[in-house]
Amino acid sequence: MSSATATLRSAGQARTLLDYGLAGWRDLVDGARQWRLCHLLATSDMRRRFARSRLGQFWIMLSSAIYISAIGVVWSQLWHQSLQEILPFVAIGMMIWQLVSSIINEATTALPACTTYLLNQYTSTSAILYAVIYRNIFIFLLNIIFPLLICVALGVQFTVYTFMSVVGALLLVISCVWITFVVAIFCARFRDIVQIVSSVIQIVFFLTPILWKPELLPPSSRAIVDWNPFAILISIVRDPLLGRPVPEKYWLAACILAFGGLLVTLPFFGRFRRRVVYWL
Amino acid sequence: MAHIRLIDVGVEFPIHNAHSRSLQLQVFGKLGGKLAQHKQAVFVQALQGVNLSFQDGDRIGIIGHNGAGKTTLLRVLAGVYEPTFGTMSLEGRLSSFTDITLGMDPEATGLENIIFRCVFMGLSFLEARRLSPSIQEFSELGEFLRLPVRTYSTGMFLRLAFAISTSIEPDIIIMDEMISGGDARFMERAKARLTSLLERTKILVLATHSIEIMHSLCNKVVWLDHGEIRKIGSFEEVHPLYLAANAG
Repeated sequence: MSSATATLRSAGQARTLLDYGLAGWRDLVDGARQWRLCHLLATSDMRRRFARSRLGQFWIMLSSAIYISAIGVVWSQLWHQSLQEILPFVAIGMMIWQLVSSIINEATTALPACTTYLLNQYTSTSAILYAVIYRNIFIFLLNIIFPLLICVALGVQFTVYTFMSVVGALLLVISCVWITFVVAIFCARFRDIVQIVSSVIQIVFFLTPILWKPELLPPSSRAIVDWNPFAILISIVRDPLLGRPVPEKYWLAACILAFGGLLVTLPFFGRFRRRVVYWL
Repeated sequence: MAHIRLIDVGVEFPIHNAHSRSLQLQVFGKLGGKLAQHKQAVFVQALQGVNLSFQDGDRIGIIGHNGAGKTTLLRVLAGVYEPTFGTMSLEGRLSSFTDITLGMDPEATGLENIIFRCVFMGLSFLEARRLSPSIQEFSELGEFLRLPVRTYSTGMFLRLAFAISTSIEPDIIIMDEMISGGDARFMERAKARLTSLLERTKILVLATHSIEIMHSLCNKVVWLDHGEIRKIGSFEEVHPLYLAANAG
């Protein structure tokens, strides 16, 4: 049941960028108002994944804990660094990367996967995409528990500065919102992009300081970190948590990425959000 | 006061086959000289120049052969497709019965599914919980409601879906063929419940191939043909013309 008084667009009527931007914004708000639906979409997927398994959701934590421990031990041997130095860095970084990469990867198929919903009742596109983000944030919060325990055990100091990582996380999530919208809409229209996105994600993983520290780079190749949006977004969440300094320009860049990106992509989203259902 | 108004509404589907859906062809299509000229996008005109105005008390039946645009029209009314041309305005809480299992989850129990389906239809969790006892009672599933829905037979599943979907009272109901479910005895009760719901609702839009159902439920008939409205009027006016056209 949907309550609506809507006058939809007339054909041929030229619409400005501002109109589309506002339409995009309205859909964002509309999606937020359908939070109940987001919650159900997100949890039903989790239920499918873990139904009938004895450990259920606990598997999320367990499998990433195993992964992180293994990588931490191997890496500290490989780079000849102490566990103290490398393990918290890799563990936290890996979990943040998993959050970002699985949001983007799931965004590629999110809309076609919801075909029955989209075709049988009015469902705002953002509600479906919020569900992807919401589910992954939930998984992230479970995942991050083990790395945080590692940090405590290895003596990482928590100070007021630590809380900057919450601000960082907020900027990261806002950036993920518009990235998700763009990726999901492009992938619904052009099915080849699904494959392209997953390849790009893999390459970005190696170019981003997650398994290696940015200090290890020679100054001549610093650009691959300083101009890498993913490196910036991950750094502003991870580094305050570990007490590592974050350059001021990173905060500025992250703000531009989050809010500038949202502003630029809103008209695009407003233009195509209702076309998606024609492409399914 | 509920109303639906369509002014000159058209719906055009782009056909994205492997051809135009592939990015490769979109990019390189711009390069070719002659080839690109022939490669026009293909559209299907599903609805064309549709003008309709419905208000309280209207019981609309939609008839037309397969592919006449009935489902597309229902989807436009339900807010699924934003019309490619024309304008549409709609007021009132709308419920679409095109898929009465929408939002139900096989892994969850019957009781949980009652809440899920209600929330998908636009209720809050609290309203859903309040409605739940009467739905449980009508479904007559008893202890089965505590089991995951995947253990149900198809009939039991549809029975639950029907009980939930008909438990709310929207202003506008949209239906693609009559809904039902369950065994003979349940079907009797289901029919009574549905009929009384359809009588209370302000506007009903029903697409059906069953002439008897349309005759008994609808006071207005819209005849769709190749995506255009051939005739609107009472059942007695439109039906003979429709039959004659089909016979010829």
